[in-house]
Amino acid sequence: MTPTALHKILYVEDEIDIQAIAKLALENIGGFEVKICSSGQEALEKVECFSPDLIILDVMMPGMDGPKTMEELRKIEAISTTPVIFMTAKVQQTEVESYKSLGALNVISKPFDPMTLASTIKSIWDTHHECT
Amino acid sequence: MSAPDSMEEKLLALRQKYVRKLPQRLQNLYQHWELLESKYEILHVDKIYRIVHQLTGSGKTYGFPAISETARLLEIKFYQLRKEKTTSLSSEEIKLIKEWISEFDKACQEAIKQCI
Repeated sequence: MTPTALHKILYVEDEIDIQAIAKLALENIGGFEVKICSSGQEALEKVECFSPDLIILDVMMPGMDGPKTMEELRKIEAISTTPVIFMTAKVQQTEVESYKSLGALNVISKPFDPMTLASTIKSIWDTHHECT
Repeated sequence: MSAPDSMEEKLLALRQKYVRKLPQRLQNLYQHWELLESKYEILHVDKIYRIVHQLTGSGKTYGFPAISETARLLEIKFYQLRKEKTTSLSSEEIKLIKEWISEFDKACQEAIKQCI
């Protein structure tokens, strides 16, 4: 069975320093096509047009936070099953489990290593597709 | 995959850009801290929390672990102040926060020295 390939990632993050380094890491090291959105609202507006394979959501954003953005994205039929990974500075196990219980594949902690971010995401993606 | 040199150069350029913004961020932190010290207002607690929360997440990501570590102490404290809806700071709290700001400042200065 051919594994589902990961090409397009929509990354929703309000902080521009993190946006810049994550985009560099995911594009240059991972070879992914990456679209950055600075808010949950922007993601809702652009997600269908971009049609991502995977969505990465920062948990703490002003306005609509990560979990709320995920909830709203799930209402869009074309995106209703698109895998989601959360990114957060809060990495207590109970919080990780609570995000997973919302349907996220996994949680990546911030700070992260830009040199290994792409492989971490690829590993989460591959594990998910081995299990489904 | 691109050549490592190219990636390293791009990372270095991003790090330098990040470091150049640190003085302004420190200035914002001090400004809100001075206002908070003179009169406790949740607006300044929120502003400081936002500044240190961002730097906790980005410092180590940009190769400056001391920035993340020192900002994290302030982040936890200001998270508690927001959550507990505190209305004033004790003299012990002020002393501790000043120490943490000083440590955070040193970490930023060290990063600036490394990159510029």
